[in-house]
Amino acid sequence: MERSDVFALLKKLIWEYLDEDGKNSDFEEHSNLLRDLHINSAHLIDLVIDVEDQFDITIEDPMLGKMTTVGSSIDVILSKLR
Amino acid sequence: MKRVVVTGLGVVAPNGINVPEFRKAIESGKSGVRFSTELELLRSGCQVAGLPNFESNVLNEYFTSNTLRNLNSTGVQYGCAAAIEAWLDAGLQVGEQAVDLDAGCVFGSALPDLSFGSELISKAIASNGARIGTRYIEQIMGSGTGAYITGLLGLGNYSVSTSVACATGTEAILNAANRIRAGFAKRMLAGSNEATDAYTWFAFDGMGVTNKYSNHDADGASMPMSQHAKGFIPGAGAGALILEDLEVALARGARIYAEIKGGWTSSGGGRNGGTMTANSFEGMVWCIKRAMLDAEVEPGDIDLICGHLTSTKGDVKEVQAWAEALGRRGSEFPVINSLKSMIGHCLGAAGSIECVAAVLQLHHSFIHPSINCQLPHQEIIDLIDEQRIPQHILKCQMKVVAKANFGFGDVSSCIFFSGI
Repeated sequence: MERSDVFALLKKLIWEYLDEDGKNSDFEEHSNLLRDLHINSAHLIDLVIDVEDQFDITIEDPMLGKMTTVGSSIDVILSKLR
Repeated sequence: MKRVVVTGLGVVAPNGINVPEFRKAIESGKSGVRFSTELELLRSGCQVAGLPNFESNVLNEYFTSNTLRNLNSTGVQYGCAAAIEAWLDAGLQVGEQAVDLDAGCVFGSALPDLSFGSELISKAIASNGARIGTRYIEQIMGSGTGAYITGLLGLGNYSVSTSVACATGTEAILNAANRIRAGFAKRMLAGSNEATDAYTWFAFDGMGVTNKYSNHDADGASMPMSQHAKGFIPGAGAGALILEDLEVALARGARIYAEIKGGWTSSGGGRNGGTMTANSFEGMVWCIKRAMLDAEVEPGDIDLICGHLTSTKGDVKEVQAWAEALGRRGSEFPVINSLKSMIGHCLGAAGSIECVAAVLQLHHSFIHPSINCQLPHQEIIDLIDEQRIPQHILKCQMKVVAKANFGFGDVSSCIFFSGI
């Protein structure tokens, strides 16, 4: 799977968690999930579960800390897909 | 002490899932008791229940799609829907307004939603240690519904979730009213909810307190005060009232349904015949008398008693308690009816749904029929004129309407409504 494919699928999953401010923000690889997109920390866990289901991967707890931005989340997903 | 008025109503009941539908149903004596396939699957003796015909999409306008996703507890859904309806009915806005430190919320429930809890248990067992998501705790915690409501409406004054068995709804309304009376708040959202939950109903069935003999006749299954009453019919739903300081309501030109004159919540203390499952007679009488004192209501002022009256042997004792507390018997006894004849016993939601009905009757000058009581219990008609139990709708102006609930743990709660 290409990076751009992961970006598109991840954007779709993240979109479900965005409030109006988040939806109006720039959605880029450097966007911070908590700070820029206003996803709360509890929902971040639900997002990780959605990601696991979507890509059929398992993301262990130590990896969660790396998923701070859209881009770093893509890195985690791609590393698991390999 | 501040005067407290009711300015908004909301309801999700087995016979009507909003106030206009509910009012029409209670005026016509329409039952909301239906056959329950979930109770049938459990092989419950009682297989009928008061089931709200509810579609959760009424919440779509008010919560984000993400919040609505996995909002699966019916109790939370009913509570939020009733609260939103009441808030809008009072002419208030739902939106991104700032927190209101003068407005609060008391919202109760009697039992956890075990049907939703069973989803959590199944998922936990099947998870093999994997994450199960973050949406379980917020819906299963006792204050979950209240948290959704206060978060949606920005209620910052006070936010508690109460539990007093079958007296939960009435107590929540009194609790909220007393906060305004004391000058601690200007506006309160008060109510209670109970989930559609066959597991808790099955547990009641196992105690022998439900009617196991009317599965073929759902409409006729709940028969408070009847000679044929064989046990209660469980039910679910929610009721909500907006209470305001009279001065605040008048200043903003709000429609006023009724005034809360006062009331009382107490326990028989598990003495004098009071047990976990039965109220002490003295405890019930004392609560009604103390409520009249608090409300400055005289026994002769009361035109209508909206009883607890569950369709069990407790009905006789309750009517005796009212007669004793008021000192009124025979044709002098107030008219008495039971909403449970139409919707069953909605447990923690009973008090708030029944208070919505009480306020509607007072405001619109009618008394709803107490259905399925063609032959009142002999011990009841030994005490009061059977004409005091309405078989059909009555149209009349009323001065004071009494509403009481009595519950497990020997608890009592009694409230009085009047016009202003």
